[in-house]
Amino acid sequence: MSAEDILSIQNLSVYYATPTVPVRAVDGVMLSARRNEILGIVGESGCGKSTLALATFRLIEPPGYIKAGRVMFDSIDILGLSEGKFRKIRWKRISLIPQSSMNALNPVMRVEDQIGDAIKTHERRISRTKRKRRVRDLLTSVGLEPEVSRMYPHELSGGMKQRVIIAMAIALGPDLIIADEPTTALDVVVQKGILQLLEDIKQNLGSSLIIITHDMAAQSEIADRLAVMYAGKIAEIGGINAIFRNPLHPYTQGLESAVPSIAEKKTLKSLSGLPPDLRNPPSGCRFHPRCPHCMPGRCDVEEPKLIEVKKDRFSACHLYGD
Amino acid sequence: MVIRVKLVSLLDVKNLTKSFPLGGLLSRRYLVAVDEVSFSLPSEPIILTLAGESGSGKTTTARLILGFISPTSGRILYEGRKDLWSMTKEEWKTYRKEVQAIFQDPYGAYNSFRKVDHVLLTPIKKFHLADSKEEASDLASDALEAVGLRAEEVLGRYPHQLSGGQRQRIMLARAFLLKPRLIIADEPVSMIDVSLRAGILNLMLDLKKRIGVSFIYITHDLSTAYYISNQIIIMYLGSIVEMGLADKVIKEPLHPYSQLLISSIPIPNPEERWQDRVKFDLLEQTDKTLQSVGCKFHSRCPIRKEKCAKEKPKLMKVDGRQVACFMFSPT
Repeated sequence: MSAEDILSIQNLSVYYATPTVPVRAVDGVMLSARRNEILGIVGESGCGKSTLALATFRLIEPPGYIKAGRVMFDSIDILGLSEGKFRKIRWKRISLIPQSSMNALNPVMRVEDQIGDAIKTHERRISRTKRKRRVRDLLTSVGLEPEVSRMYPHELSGGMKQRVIIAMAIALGPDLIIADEPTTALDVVVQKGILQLLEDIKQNLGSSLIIITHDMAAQSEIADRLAVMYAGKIAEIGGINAIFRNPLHPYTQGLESAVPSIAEKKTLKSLSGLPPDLRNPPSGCRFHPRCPHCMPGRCDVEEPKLIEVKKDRFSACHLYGD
Repeated sequence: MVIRVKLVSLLDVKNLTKSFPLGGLLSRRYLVAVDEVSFSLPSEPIILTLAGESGSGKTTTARLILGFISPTSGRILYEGRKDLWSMTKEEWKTYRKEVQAIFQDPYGAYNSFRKVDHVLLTPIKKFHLADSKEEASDLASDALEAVGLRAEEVLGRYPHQLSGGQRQRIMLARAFLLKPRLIIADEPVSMIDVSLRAGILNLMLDLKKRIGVSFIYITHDLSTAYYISNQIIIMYLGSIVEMGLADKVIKEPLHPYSQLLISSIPIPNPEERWQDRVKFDLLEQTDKTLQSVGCKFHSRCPIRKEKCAKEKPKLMKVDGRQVACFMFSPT
């Protein structure tokens, strides 16, 4: 892992056991997030993007298991740490905003107590008044009135709840924040507010963010770099402008011609076929049954490796390389 | 010489209002989910979008048109004839046949213990579309073909064995069987993956063109709305704030709410990022039950005037569309 990386996922495979063969949800993923950048991860449902986030935060539970690979965070091997040691990092250095976590706030606890809990765990000596002040400051920094700290979750709207969750995630000033679908199920104006708030966090706190969403348009508004996942693997990684201007992988090309835009009315094309069953993924390249550029004899046999096609552009496709 | 015939519109919604009581038995508070909404669908096939955020009343409007719930006041006229709620049994049956619906969750519409054939054969039976089993299965196959599915691919399977896109296509096939004139599509693609979503949208465009069916497309997603609709209605807390041709409403929105909404839509082009910031105090309406006398948007409106808190603006014609904002009143 290079010095500019904050997180490096190396050859990570996460499987889910089933009575027959395991589901290969994440299979040999190589990906790194740089310091002070927003790395976007896109992919459709079932591509393994949430599993990847959970694995990075050590939240894979049976029937899921880590089959292989490492997750290095600032030269700490996260998966190899003892629970006690990881507890020192969790929230303080890495935090996770899980999918639909805004609906997981404790309904009988005031906002200040929920955010305060995270602070208390790491800073035992902090006084009650100081903690309360910290919570009020945090709420202000996510654009909420300090009075929100005395409220219960049911008194908050969806956008407010999501901002409480974000306040919780930044409470201890982490270096890396992983947000899984942070804007799904929010209205479009609120979505814009939340995305801009995440951008502010990068600017003001100097944190790195990994934002996972299936929404290409949302990614294009805030991500610095984008990783495209398909069927448990990385299809392509690159700078956001480059990926939109000149997508390399046929799957990325397909995604881009399927996304509607209010800026221009072009005929949308959907990809043919369906995403594969990850218990029994296609041989060779997992995208080959749906790929318009499939080369029989190669793509259905040999699995393409993720290679650097040009500077900072990685793609796993036989169209590139030898 | 062109002979202009005044055609009867397909559907007229007139001053439609639906309020739900809030709180206990003795409570006098109401949530006005749909508030004096009027619009019509022309007789020629179009796709009309009802767009708005959660709580805008778009789904309640759809449920009223489908007759699932009865309005508090107002009327819905089908083909200029009778109001939905004064139809005879026979007229109602025709209406139920000619106005079909598809919904957001294409899984929830199936009985998971029955093969998908069931959803196609039931309407055939109910509306006596076929005289024999063979004829019924021919009809089902034709309908599947019309929505881009092969009968042997899906018939005899259970709903969980199909993808979301296939399930939604079968729902469209079911609607298609009855040769409807209007399909109410309530968020039909919001649970479907991006790569398959385009297929459903294109299918709706194709059905409009090929068999002349109109759609009322209900969505929060204005990007897909812009792609398929001829006309767009933007709703806010139960009222129409702006309606007109899709190009006008999306490209040059006039109502301050439409402007806020449309400027918040992400554009899939990183070289055209948002330039402005959305202010947190304008983010959302927290109290959806408010019984304001004035314009419902006034508390969030950047250009509000004194009048806006006291009086409700009516829809007025401005530049090829209708807008409910005092900024455009003639005086």
